[in-house]
Amino acid sequence: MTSFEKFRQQLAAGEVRDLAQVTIPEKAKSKQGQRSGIVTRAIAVAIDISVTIVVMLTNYGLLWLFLLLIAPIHLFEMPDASWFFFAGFVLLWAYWTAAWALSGRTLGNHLMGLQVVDYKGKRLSWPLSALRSIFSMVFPIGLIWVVVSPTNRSLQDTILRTSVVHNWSVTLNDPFVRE
Amino acid sequence: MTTPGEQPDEGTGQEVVLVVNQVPSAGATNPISELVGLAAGLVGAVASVIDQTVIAGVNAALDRVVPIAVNVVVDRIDLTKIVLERVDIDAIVARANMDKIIDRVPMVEIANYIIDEIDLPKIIRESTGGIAVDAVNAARLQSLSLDEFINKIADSIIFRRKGRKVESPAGAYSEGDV
Repeated sequence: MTSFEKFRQQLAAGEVRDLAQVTIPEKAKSKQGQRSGIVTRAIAVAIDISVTIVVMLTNYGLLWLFLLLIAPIHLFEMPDASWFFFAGFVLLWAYWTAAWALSGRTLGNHLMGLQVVDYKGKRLSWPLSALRSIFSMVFPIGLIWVVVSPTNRSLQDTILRTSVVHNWSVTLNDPFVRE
Repeated sequence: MTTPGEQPDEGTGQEVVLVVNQVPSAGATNPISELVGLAAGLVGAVASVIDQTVIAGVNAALDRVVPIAVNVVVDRIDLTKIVLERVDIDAIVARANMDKIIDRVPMVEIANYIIDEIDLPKIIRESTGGIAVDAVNAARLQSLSLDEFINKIADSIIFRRKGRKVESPAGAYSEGDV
């Protein structure tokens, strides 16, 4: 049992565990801060790509509506599939770069409780984030390396010295917030 | 009866006669019993006087002396220690009526104080986070166990026995909070 006085002393001494840990299931508490495995990361990537596809389709629909309003429909042609693919590629690249450099989490990361950190456990710099983002997209198969890597790192992580770690509590205990 | 000192006035030749009422004779009441009664009354009066003055005096003296004496005694002994050694405090507490005590304790204020101290709103905020937290946690736990399952299979295929080194990079969680 902890009295208020004792609790305040511990709080002042920085001995109190992150209170948000209370909300993390017991089984997952020991996993916090450890590098994630392939399934979690693959699901996070799948969510990100799904989000990108939904955004692209929405943009396409809006563009179609807009052209329908200002021009006869027979003048509107669907963009080339390669252009569509390219636009999605750029969007995903920008999204991943910004998300990793700003908070370390994309939407998929957030849902799966993951965070991308550099070799010091800190926030990725913008160039590093952009590099990792483009690397992940041109060589997605590098993610498979997580299965055999002794440190749960993808090929991109191994080369760029980054890590994807479990961090289920969003604000507290966040290295980026403490900076 | 004439008093011996009163001589007859020879010049006038008249006689003055003094008449004195006769003292009640002793035969009507016993003088001894009267004396005893008087003495008893006197003793009673004296006793009550003594009773009031002396006892009041003694009481006043005790009122002054006893507190000083007790203080001196109490100053010389460690009452707390004696109580701790000789009194079964648990038994006293066990007999205390807790309901009455709790009735007087400001429970709501204490509850609010606890909520403030542990910052309950923050915990709730972070635990819910705008998403159905149970579903999210379930999905995360599922993928976590799948991760471990796949890692185990992969490790056994490539004959890795040391296990994986998955600790966080230096600095991320090393500041005493995990």
